[in-house]
Amino acid sequence: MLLSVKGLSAHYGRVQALSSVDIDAPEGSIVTLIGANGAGKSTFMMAVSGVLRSISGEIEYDGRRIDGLPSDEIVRLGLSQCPEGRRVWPGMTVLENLEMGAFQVGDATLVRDRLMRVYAHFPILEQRSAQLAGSLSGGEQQMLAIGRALMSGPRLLMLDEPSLGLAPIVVEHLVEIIREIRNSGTTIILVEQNAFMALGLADAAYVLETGRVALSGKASELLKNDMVRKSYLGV
Amino acid sequence: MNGRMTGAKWLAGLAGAALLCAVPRFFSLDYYLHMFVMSEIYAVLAMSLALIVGFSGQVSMGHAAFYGVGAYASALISLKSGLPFWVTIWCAGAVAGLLSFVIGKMVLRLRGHFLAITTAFFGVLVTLILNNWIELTNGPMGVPGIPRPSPISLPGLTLSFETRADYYYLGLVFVGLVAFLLYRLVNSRIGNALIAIRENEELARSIGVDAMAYKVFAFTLGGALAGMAGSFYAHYILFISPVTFTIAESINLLVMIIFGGMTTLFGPVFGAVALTLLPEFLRMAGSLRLVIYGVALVIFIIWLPLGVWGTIKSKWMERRG
Ligand SMILES: Nc1ncnc2c1ncn2[C@@H]1O[C@H](COP(=O)(O)OP(=O)(O)OP(=O)(O)O)[C@@H](O)[C@H]1O
Ligand SMILES: [Mg+2]
Repeated sequence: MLLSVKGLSAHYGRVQALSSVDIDAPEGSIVTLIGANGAGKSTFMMAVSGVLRSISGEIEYDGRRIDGLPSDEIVRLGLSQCPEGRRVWPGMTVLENLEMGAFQVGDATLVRDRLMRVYAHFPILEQRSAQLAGSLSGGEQQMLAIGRALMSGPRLLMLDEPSLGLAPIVVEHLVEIIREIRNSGTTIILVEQNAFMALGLADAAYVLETGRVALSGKASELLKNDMVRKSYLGV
Repeated sequence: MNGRMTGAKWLAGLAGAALLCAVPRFFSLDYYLHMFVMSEIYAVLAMSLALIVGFSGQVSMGHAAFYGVGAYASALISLKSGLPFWVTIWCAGAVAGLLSFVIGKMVLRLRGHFLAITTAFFGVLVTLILNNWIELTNGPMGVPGIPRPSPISLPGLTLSFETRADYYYLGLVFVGLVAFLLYRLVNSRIGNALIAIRENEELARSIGVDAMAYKVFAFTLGGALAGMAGSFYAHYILFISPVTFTIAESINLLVMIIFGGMTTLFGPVFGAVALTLLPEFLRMAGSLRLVIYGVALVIFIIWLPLGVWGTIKSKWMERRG
């Protein structure tokens, strides 16, 4: 198990956003978290990556406890995330944004290599490398944010709603890229509103409801589950 | 093409330096030279504040406190121990840097208005201490008799610091070195981290930037440089008292970087020089001077948020595409 979370609770002031959540991600898999708005999906990512500090419970990554570690150290251990919301630095160029993703990588040739790999996934970023990130379209900014998360060379990549606001054809492309990233050996945790896409792509899935795991199992099985079909697939 | 461009840049830089060195020949009146030396001190102060406010995005309303602490540290150490200015200026940087490190650790968790108010509070607190710790600071009466820097002689050039022109040349070197240091810094990895924090701190933390450490670093370095400017001031005016280092001075420094623009390095220098010289030239306007000054500032904050230099630079970049 690359990531193993047990009894994770998190709160913002008095608001309890997660209550005793157990989630596992085996090495080399794609695990998806789905749930309604406010279910606690983003909170889970923020807690695991060490950005949110008011948490309790156990987070084990690669056999060691990482709960309580500062976020820069967690990134150094090979965990990388692409957060939701404002995902890029609008005042920096595309290239500068990507380079920031490799902030902790000292080796310039390694940075160069990874940059080439990101450009191979997203050729548009290479064309726009000197442009300010704020002037990219929404979808391009999304790609930039994913590319930047790859620049740290993660073993575990957490993506928060990467398909948000993308045209269907681009989402298909994104699915391909996420598969490629997994096939190159990176484990992925995927938070999605687009449950259909996520369940089609993932190996395992968790359904979050108001901060608790309501349902979990193989993605292919959840895809057939009545409750999931009714609440999240709308069929 | 590129080579010629940098060649032209070098030439322009050399011409500029020659012009700056020639200034005392054209303005030999003590009154003018005094304004120029003060402009240099303010240029260092404004750059050091821009590192904190402009590049890292952390509003500080107490910067004059570090200026003052540096001035007092340098003056008192040189008076009590007889160490020359060339040593005490470093002591001033160390003391002011240490103080800003401690204060930064405490306040930089706060953001926006809360940070502004808290730094203002610390600024006021430092003035209070300077006024009331009479055994050490001599209170409101100030510290007189601060020694001048000991003479230095380089081949072909001797600076005795008996004249303002000598201070002016030393100030040029000071401004040049600080500008060079900060230029290297803001164009490095550290500078990128600071800008990332300014533009979106959460995002910076999510990619593994230890935001607190970088903010504290910028605050500490800015405070240390302000302290060194304070030392320069003390050994130039030869007398210091708490009234120089009040919150009014902190705000004055903020105004300078707002005026010049705080996201470039030249902006603060421009703002410092303009706002040191301009009020003097406006003197003939009499009591209307302050009104003109105030109105101009409001206009700047509303219509030129990038400051004069920042606006020119961004227009220039736009035209080049
Ligand atoms: N910074 C915050 N301060 C206070 N409450 C917060 C904060 N961030 C999130 N919450 C609350 O925590 C709960 C979980 O929020 P979270 O962002 O994790 O949901 P989510 O599942 O990601 O939702 P969405 O699909 O809309 O992104 C919500 O009730 C939300 O209101
Ligand atoms: Mg969310």
